[in-house]
Order: sequence, then structure tokens, then C-alpha cells
Amino acid sequence: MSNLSRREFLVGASGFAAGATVGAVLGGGVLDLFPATAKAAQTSLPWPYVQLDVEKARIRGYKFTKSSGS
Amino acid sequence: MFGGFNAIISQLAEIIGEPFKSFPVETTWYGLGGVSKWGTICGALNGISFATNLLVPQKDVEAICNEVIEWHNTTLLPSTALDNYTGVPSKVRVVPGSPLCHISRSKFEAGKPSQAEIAERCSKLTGDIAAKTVEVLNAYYSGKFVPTFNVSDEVINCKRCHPGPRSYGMMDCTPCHGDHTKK
Repeated sequence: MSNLSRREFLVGASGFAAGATVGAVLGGGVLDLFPATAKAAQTSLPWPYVQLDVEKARIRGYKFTKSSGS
Repeated sequence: MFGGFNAIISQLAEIIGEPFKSFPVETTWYGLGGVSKWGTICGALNGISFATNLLVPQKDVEAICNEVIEWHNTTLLPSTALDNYTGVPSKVRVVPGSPLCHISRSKFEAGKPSQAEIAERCSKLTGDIAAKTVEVLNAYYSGKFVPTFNVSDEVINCKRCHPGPRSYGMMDCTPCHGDHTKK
């Protein structure tokens, strides 16, 4: 059984968490912390396109502008 | 801008997923009212141009944007396609004659629209522009896109003496500058 005090335990745990984060950054790169954003940023142009619904675009254009003001 | 851009990107996010799904579409909010209400480029045209830039090889971006912008400038808008959906008939409709929010909006308001029409106009216009853009993009990716845009005779006339090279512009010059060659 360990004789660690509660404080010592918490200090150790936070040190481990900080170390793990640094490890993730150094080992996997900063982008691993933001996988979705990184994926978008790494995709070169043009992005893929499929045939879209013209009337759906009309209604969405209307609705998104109406709801956002932009 | 958000409306025009997201009308296209949201569909692609649903059908294709990434990278559309995680794209921060809110980055287009600045485009409202011709960029933060400065009345410059129509937000809807700005939004569909941004989407086009993501979706089309760089060499063809200009041709697609030209096609939609010129269509907007020369078409009676908003169309009546959304009248039933919104429950507000578009009685006052104008040919914007310009990609500038200020000119387009001023022409519309000169027609004395009702308050309900004023509230609906830019949203309807964005819907029409998004629909036209999808029509053009669908044609482009089906190998059926035939560019129809040509710089107008009025602009060619002005550029004979005002060629630039830094004064970019394909807009009709005369609404703001007049045509001193015809006095």
C-alpha cells in the first residue's frame, strides 16, 4: 500500500496529464489535438462535388439567410 | 454570405461528409450587407463565389463566378419561386444591374416594397442565387457548362480610355459615373 498523501497523488496525476499532452503534441503533432480541423486543412482544392438539388439549394439559401441575417 | 455558402456546403456535408462537415461555415458571417454592411459585394454572391473556389479547379473559378454574377445583374429578382414557401409574394422585383449590395438594394427600395417584402427580399435573393449556382456547378461537372458571360459593350466603351491596369472592373460603369462620351 502506498503512503502517498492526497496532495502528492493529485500533483502526480496532473503531471502525468501534462506530460501526456506534451507527448501527444510532440509525438503525434499539434494537429492530432484537432483531428477534424486538421483534416479539412490538409485537403487540397478542389474539394469533391456531386450533383446537388437545385430547389433544395434555393430553400436552404433562403432559410440560412433568414435565420442568420447573413 | 453565410446563406449562399451554406446552401451548397451543407448539402455536400450531408452527402459526402468530410471535409465539408467540419468546415467552420460561420467564417462567412462577415459578408452580410456587402461586408459588414458596407454595401459592397452582395453577400450571396460573395458566398457562392467562396463555395465555387472550393469546388472548382482554379482555372475555371472565374468563369463560374462570372456566369452567376452576370446572371444576377441582368435578371428580374427575387424570382417568384419561393412565394408559396414563404407566403409573401414578391411584388416588387428589380433587375439589380450591379453586384453591389448598395445599388441592388436601393433599386429595390425605390419600388416601394411592403415591410414584409423588405424582410424577405435578401433571403429570397440568396435562395435564387444559390439555386443558380448549383445549376451551373451541376452543368460544369456534367461537362455541359457553356460560358455565356461577355464584358458588356458599355464597359468596353469605357475601357477604351480607362484601361487600368489596376482599375479592375466588369461592372457597368455608367450608373455611378455616367457616360460622358454620349453627351
